[in-house]
Amino acid sequence: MAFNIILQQNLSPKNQLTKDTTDLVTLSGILREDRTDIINPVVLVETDYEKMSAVNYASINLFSRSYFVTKIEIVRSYKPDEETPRMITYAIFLKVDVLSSFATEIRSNSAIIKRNENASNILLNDGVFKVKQNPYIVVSAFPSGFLGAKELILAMAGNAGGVMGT
Amino acid sequence: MSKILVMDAYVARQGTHENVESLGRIKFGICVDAGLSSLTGTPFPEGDYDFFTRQVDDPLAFGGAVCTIEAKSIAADFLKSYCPMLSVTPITTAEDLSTLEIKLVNSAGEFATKALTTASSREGMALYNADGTSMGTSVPLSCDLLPVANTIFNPCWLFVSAFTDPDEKFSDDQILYSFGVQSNRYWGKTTLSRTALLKTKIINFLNNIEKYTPPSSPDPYDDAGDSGPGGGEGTFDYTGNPPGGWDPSFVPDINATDTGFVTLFNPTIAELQTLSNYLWSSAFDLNTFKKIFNDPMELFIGLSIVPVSVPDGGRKQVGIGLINTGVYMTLAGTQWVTVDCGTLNVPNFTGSYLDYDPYTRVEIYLPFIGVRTLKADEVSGKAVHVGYWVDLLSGACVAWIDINNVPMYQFMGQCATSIPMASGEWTSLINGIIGAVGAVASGAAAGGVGGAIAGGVAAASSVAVNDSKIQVERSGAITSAAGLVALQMPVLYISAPNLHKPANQNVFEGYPAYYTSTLADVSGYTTIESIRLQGIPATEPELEEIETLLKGGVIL
Repeated sequence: MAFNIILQQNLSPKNQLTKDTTDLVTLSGILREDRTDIINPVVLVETDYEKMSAVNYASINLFSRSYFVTKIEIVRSYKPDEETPRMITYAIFLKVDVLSSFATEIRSNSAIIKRNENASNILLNDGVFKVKQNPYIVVSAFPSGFLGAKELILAMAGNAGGVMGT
Repeated sequence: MSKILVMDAYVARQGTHENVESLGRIKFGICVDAGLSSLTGTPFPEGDYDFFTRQVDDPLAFGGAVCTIEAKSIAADFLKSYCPMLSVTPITTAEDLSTLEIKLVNSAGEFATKALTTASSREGMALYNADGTSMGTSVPLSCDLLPVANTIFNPCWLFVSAFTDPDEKFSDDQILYSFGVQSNRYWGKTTLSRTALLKTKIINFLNNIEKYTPPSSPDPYDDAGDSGPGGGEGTFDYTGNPPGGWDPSFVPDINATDTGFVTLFNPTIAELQTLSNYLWSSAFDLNTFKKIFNDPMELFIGLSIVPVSVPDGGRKQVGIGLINTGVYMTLAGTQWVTVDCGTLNVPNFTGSYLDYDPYTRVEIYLPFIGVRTLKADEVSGKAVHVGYWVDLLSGACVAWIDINNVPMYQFMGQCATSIPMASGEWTSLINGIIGAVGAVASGAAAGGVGGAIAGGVAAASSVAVNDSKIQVERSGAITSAAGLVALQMPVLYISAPNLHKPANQNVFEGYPAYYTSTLADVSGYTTIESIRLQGIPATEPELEEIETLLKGGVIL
């Protein structure tokens, strides 16, 4: 059974939920083997497309999935002296990109967020920061203290020292 | 309450039953099944047995998934209706069977267990001894008997029973035997008259189920009691009821001078010199004095230097015993004096956990007291206020440290410097100074290498995050005369971590979050602590990979 496969180029990080892809060419492909799975399929395409080396991503609507291209093998090519147009059969090894394939459904799920780039709480100590061996020493004097003149205190026994004291 | 899981019937041959029975392991059995009538060639009338309503056209296919599930549900409903004390959980999907375990328990509490491998596999009926050896129950499709298996999970048992034969007739008594697995009886076509008896026997049987008691051995910790759930009774009310902070308007409502036995003068140097000259002059009538005292110095309690301004209590002539000296001095207006050192706001340097213990260390130098350690947990991001109370009579002082207007620390010191008025007092003073210097020296020695620079703001006084650095003393006991030449205002020393942070660290690895959110509301690099994926039409390996990726970090 033939089906359409969109060969693409992906320059996004592989762990990005939705990839920024560029569609290069849409081809008709078949599975290389009678029995295969949709997670790691191998698709045969015949094409004269000249930029196969730029292909690193693919989508197969029949399987409702997007794929990383893990390997491209040349299965068969025509000899140069043949009159027919140069067509090459490629075996494209794919591995499902579960993040992009189910991005919408993943976003609808709730989770406990462990770490995040934009919304975080760095009062939580998870050892995220490194510190140097030389700490800052901050010295701050209080604005006031015992800054006035020193005075004398004479303590005497009795009430001012004598009955005649006035 | 006992819990019974009712599994479906599987076809087995008569030999299976005999083998099981001969082992003596079966404590009881329950006959609950469908499809019996199919072997008789005459279907049961609908409702004849309220639990025998399933009709099976092809008995050889009885182990199939479809009829398995239906029969199972019927059996569960039956058990629940006739034995309310039991919690019966019907198995509703064929997949459930693959996760079931059959358990056989004998009177000694031993049990044999074997997981059913597939829903339709008749090998699932294979029975195993406790040591794992098979009891031998290969089940050919061509068997002519129909035992029924029900799993009754721990704390009950599983058992196999119920037979039928299209040609065999049997009486009501034979039903009992067959039900009780007491003998190998054939169960032929039943009649309505047997239904009530069968129900009665089943009910009686269920009411007398023996509970499975697992093997036990003496536990020396039994007296500790069994563990149970707990906690969750917190109020989460952290308000507290702190006392008021330092208040200079507060003074003790009694002074030593109020007693009449003590008088505090605040003399000038010139006044003291005049008094001294008078005492050593001929004008001083020693004979009159000696009528009361042996030594004029007995009247002088002490002379000291205090580092505070003394309130004016008015002028008064100094009397020596019964003698007026003609020397006037200013009285101290009160025994208690306050010194407000002001407030410092301690910033949050990084706004992170690094601003707190043990990563940030805080020390405070207090005049006439020395250096004391404060907890960064209590100080960071707060206003620190220091106020003193000074006793002019004794020279004792107390430093109050308020954090955000709440008194958190109080330290005592000595701020008066005694001036000797007799030789004995001089000796005491020198001894006191030597003692104080000794305290300084021992404090410095405790600092090891850093002790040489004790009292300064030195790098060696820094605090390591992991507490591995050398700790030094910034000062010893700075009191009395030593305090007069030391710093006269409090000083905070904060050792704060020197952060070494790569650019865009949050982009590459995020910062700790720990909150619950829908992933659609989160953006950027994210790792997940926990998630229950649902609503995703992916295969099981794909779901596992999604969870693994989310926990490892994705860009949303």
